[in-house]
Amino acid sequence: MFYINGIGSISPQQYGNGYLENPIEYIGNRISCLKPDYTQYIDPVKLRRMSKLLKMGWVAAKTSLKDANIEKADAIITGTGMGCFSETERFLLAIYENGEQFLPATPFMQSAHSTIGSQIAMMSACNAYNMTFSHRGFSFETALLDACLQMLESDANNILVGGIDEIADNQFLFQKRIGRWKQEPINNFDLLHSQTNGTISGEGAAYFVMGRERSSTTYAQIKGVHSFSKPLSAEQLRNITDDFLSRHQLEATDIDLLMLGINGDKRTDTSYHEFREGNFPQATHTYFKHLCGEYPTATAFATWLSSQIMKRQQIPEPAIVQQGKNHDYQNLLIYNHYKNDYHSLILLAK
Amino acid sequence: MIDQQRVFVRGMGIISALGNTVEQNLSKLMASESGIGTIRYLDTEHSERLPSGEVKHSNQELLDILDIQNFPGMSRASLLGMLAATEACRNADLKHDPRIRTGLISGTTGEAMTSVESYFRDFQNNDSKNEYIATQDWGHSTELIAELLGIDGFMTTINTACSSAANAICTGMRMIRNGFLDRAVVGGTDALSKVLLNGFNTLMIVDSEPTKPFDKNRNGMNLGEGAAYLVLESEAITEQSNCLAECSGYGIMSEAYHLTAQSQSGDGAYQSMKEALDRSGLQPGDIDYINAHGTATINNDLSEGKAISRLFKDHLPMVSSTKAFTGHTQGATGALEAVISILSLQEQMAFANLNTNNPMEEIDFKAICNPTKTSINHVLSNALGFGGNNTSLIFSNC
Repeated sequence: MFYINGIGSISPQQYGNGYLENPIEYIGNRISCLKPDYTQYIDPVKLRRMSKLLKMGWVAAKTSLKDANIEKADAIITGTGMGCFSETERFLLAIYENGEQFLPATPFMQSAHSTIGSQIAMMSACNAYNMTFSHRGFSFETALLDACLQMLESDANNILVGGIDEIADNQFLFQKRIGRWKQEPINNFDLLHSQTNGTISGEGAAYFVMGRERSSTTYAQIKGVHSFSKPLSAEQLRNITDDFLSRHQLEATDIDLLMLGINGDKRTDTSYHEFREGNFPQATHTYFKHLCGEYPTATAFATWLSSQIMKRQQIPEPAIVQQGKNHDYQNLLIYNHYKNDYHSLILLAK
Repeated sequence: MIDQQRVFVRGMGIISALGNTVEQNLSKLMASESGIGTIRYLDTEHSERLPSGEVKHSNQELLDILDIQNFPGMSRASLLGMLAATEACRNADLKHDPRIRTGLISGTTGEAMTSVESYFRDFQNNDSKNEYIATQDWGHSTELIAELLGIDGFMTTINTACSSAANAICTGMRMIRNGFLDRAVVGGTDALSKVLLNGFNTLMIVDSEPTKPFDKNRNGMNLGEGAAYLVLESEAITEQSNCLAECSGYGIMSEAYHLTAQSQSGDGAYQSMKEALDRSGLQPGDIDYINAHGTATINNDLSEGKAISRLFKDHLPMVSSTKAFTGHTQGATGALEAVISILSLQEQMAFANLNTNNPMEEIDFKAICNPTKTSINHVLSNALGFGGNNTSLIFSNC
């Protein structure tokens, strides 16, 4: 399909030399993005007016553009589950407080989800195709699919594709009310073996420069993406996966690395274990949500981490669930589900 | 490039302040009767002061029309969407065939607003409205519509502010053209909400009088609500003789000028219209009617008007904005106007640009004041959103 030629991520993790060298341990049920030094990326006048999400989006996008050695992309495609919802909240709270008069304009101006992509377009002077998908756990996957369409029907060479979400204070509490998060504090590194309900809340922004051609900065090739609603059984999931792999002339035995969306919620992690156990004999099994937390576009973080692993051929120790025999990572498969309703497969190759 | 499929419109449905069906909307458009009036159902301090294009039914009445019970997480936008999408599918007389890959692509910008603004305090303080917590996002109405229509394939939601539904139509066209889908139900839905009404009002672009697109004394938009959907099919599976129109071109570009405004030169709208013409293989002189975005804000009409003047120069087609009929239906507007554009092809009639007595002087055309019978083979529709997210669509007789 296309090559990942530049990457950029803002997450709850710190990056030494652009990579995850010493993953951070957290205790609790909510992990938030570390704040980069925004002044390196945004002039102070603009910075004051920009919401946190817009800042995160721009820094991740700019990092990936720089990484790919380009100034601007030929298309900008964003996937976001909750988008600029916290700005809507700010505006709504102002209505509750002031009534429907004398309201602040800035939160409303930054409340459309497409503001993220528009801001990137403005700051990189990019007039090209710009699209924003916002459909729960399919948002980032659809952005990737749209990048494929762009490659087919236009002469775009470099497409900026990203997944971005934040968790605002109110939303964190609301989701807690309906049992999304763990009731007890947990060490994020213990998420894999957790036996309780709920997960840890997370957030992040990851953008990628997807190129038609391989370049000197290439991380990996994206071979395919497939999203689907909740499978009826482990067998059906297996069939969907086999079909997907066979479309790319692969079998389960060809997968060297599995990246799984295990999030520590015992109600829904079963599908990951049914998926992996006995099915991918050669592969090293890894997971990522203890590093970034759960959010609708967490697969963007998984794609970022996978890109790094494929380029460096090296896996951060705390990501490993089960070590495989093979250390030459040719094919990597990400399997994720969001709330067990939104399932997806993303296939990367060296 | 692979072999591209031509894309046809097989059916359509609409609900707006003008009425609940294509037929009801058409009769008001032909009679030049606006649907704008006093707000009755949204609980807002502005109900008497800001005339709007509210759909003339309570949520309970909408449930009754749909013949369904109130359900957990119900929102007004989802009810409007369900009504319009059902009409579109009925109108297309769809037969379920598992071999036909069918998708649903919906645009919305405020789908989550009405429940959030009603229940936010409950979310903060008690468990009484927990059923709405998981539905305060943008995929909710899309999934309800899919369930109602029995679509279990590809599904997505687009939120690019005022161009959301136009971009949903575009995405469906592109997926069919490139062989990703055989059939797609595309469009959008949005309900009036306090957040959007006050948001636009805070930007001082809401008129307290009936809106006057392309008028010298225009003073902003009237907000509206509604939903519209099209059933699109590839040439491989459709019966062309039963089609309403062909989707012949589209253009999308981002002006990247300002987060909520367009440049005075109208470069954004110029580019998206030009791209749509290029893709369709048409010349400016081939377009017979433009259904403009025409929100009646100082900024939009100047920018869009200049773009039309510059691109169509000596071949200026008839132009009107139908926002004074329906109000600006936010994210759904591109879909409502796609339906209106296709009606103009079917009826061979350009609909009126209401309320405009003093045409703008900075632009080279006068929006048409009366419904006009004329030969229409190709119609262009614009949707221009926040952040310069501009989309132009071209529909043609087939």
